[in-house]
Amino acid sequence: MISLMVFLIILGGGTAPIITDLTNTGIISAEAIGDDEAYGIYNDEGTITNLTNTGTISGTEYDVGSWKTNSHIVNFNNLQSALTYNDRLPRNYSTIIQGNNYGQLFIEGTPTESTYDGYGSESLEKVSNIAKKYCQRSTDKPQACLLYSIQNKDGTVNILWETSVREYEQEFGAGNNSKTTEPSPDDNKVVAAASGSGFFVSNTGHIITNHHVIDECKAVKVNFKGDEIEAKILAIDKTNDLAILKANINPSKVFAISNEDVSLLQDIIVAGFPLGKRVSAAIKTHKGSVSALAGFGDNYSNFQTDATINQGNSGGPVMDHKGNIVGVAVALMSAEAGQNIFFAVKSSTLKTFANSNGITFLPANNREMSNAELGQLITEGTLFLECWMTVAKIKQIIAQEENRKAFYSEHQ
Amino acid sequence: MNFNISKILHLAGTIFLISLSIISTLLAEVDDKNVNNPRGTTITNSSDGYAVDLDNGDSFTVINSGTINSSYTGDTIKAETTGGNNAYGIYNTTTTINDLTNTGTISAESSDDDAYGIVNDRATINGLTNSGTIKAVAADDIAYGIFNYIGGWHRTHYH
Repeated sequence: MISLMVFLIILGGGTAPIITDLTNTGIISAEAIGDDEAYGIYNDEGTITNLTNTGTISGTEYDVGSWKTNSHIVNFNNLQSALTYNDRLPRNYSTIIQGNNYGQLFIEGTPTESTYDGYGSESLEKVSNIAKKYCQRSTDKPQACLLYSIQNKDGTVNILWETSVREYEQEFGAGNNSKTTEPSPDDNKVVAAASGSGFFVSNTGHIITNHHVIDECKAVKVNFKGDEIEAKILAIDKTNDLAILKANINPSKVFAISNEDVSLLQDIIVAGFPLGKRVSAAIKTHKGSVSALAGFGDNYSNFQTDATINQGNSGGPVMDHKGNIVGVAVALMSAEAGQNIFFAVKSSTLKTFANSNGITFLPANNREMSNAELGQLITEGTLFLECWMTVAKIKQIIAQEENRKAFYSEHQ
Repeated sequence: MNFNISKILHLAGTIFLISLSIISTLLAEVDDKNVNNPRGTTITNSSDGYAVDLDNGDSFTVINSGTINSSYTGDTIKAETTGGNNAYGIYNTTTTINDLTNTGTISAESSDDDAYGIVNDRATINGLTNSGTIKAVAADDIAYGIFNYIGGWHRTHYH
């Protein structure tokens, strides 16, 4: 009833601004050089529907803000930028409804569960948030709180809150901000928590992936031709972020490893399952070239590329046009830090690690493959990996600053 | 803010970028017209801060592959609406834009007041696709890339 009344008030009062189908693949930015506010997108008593952002939306204070009374963002798919939802007013009637947020989600004010009872109050519904979440980025506002989780598969809002990081650290000391205020009875349940990619390097089922893909998993499952097959972890290299797995599979296609490391400007192909199977279950490929022969912080066991790597690509193959592995997808820099900066572990690093653990690879291919041949190799040799862990472990990892896993939305 | 579609308003400002095969052209502010701004062309307004001003209640299409830029650097110019000397890349008020596609640059810069890349004020934009850059820079006040705003009309109570 309240909702209806509000709707009528809107109609009777004037014209609220509407933007439909806002798609950004470029840059929307706002910069306040002085000491003032800057908003990439400021939604003030308006409605934005179907907001899709795969580019950069940034403001020096807020990236995307939905503010004040009757401000609504409906159906959004935000891959990068921070989304700020303001509930500071006592009866806000603002909503963020139904969307996937892979960026950070900030909640301002002092939210309590009672303010989300859905009756005349603000609502934040059916929002899947994939990345880490913070209540506030500003340290000068004391009423911060860390949004722990929003889950709404069954239509109900389920929000778990943590105390603010700052308040928590004052109480419990720095370095431990994983306290939850509402432990769930399902915490010991083992569920599919996150995904990554991997690839076969032997016809007896040896698989290469990143260490962070399988780290702290209770079980690692390989999706192969419709079956879920549990893989055994044979060896790990935490420093170089590599892991060797073995599954009881005899693949028809396996990757060979290049004899030489990449060279600058060399064309490469990245394959894997970016964003899990959220976009589609099909394997994805991206082409690009080698941008630098070192990774972040002069890490020469990595190289930099402009071939797109997203969360979920981790552990996937990076190959040349002969189908030889030249790298293992491992990391990306945030869009805020720079555009198209992605990293892979060099094949020489992989070889050293694998040879030290008794794994030898197929000899490198000498001729260039056709697209059809490459496509077949990629399709049959690349794997979707799932990390299974307890709900309690998921919560703990999500709360950690350095989490790099691509968790499924229902766990966020 | 009279509309003038003169192809080369500022002849002296015409620049030929031979190496890029682009002829750079400056155009004056666009007022209540469809916009199809090609690559290499700049629609600019540094006098009153409105580069593309759509405020007559009609429907428009805005396609920008070039640059739409407004800047405000002085303190003696009177802006058309209240609010001081703001800079607006596109100011859409009480009108409808049925397609706003930007593959170029829409920017607003203000030295002493607010800067707005795109303002949608009591208006509707049906489809805003940006693969270029929408930018607002305010030296001394608030900056908004896109401002979806209910304008001067404010509710005062809820019952």
